[in-house]
Amino acid sequence: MQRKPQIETIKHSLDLDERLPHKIKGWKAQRLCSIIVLVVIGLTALGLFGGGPLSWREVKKPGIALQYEVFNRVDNEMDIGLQVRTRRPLEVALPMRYLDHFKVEKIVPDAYKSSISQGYVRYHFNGVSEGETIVRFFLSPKEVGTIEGVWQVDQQHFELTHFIYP
Amino acid sequence: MDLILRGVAVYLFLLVLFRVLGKRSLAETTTFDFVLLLIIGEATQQALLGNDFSVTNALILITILMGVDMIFSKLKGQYKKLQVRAGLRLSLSL
Repeated sequence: MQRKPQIETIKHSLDLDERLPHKIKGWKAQRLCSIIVLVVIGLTALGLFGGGPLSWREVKKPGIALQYEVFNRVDNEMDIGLQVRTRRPLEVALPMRYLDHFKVEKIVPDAYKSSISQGYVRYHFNGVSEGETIVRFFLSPKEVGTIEGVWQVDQQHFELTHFIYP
Repeated sequence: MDLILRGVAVYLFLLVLFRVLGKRSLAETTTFDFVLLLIIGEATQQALLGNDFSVTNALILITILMGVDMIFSKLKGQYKKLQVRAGLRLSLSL
């Protein structure tokens, strides 16, 4: 049940520039806005603007797992991680159209060879004999909005979608 | 998440620092106090924003700082003890 505001209205002859119903409306709006502020803070903590569980995505394919961030901000570095179980050299191909929207800050470990063919930038890494190979791409978005691209990792396709805030 | 932690940490640090050093009314402030405030603003900018100078980052940080301030004023209004403690510190520092 909604409580009625307990404000005593006094009738007076003074010519005051105030209207109580407007003030009550203002207080209600303030309360609503304070709730919105708290919701925004909560969503930020969860990663709506990047760096949280709402933002992280993991795509798994046989022998390969790719983690990336869906939400990020322009010029803010994000990392895309690849976990691969392979003994032979690994090839990661990034579409050039996709890379047009990003600046590649660094790749860890460094690729021993990189080449361009069929609209893809191909990075080659050495495989390890046991366990997993972890490769991290550090990219900074240069443009705002939705960016989509399909990565090729060992002939397997990974569809990535990012939303970049201004 | 680190955005929130940075915002809250800087807010709390400044709150504690200003409480410890004591409140002053606007009439008591000197020109150097204003210069000091500007320097504090410059110094905290890097800590708050880091290397991310995007509009969204700035807006989120403002929202976080205002939100924390709102929570503290609500708590102060609801729990009188907080207000009394703040008042005691104020009178001690004066």
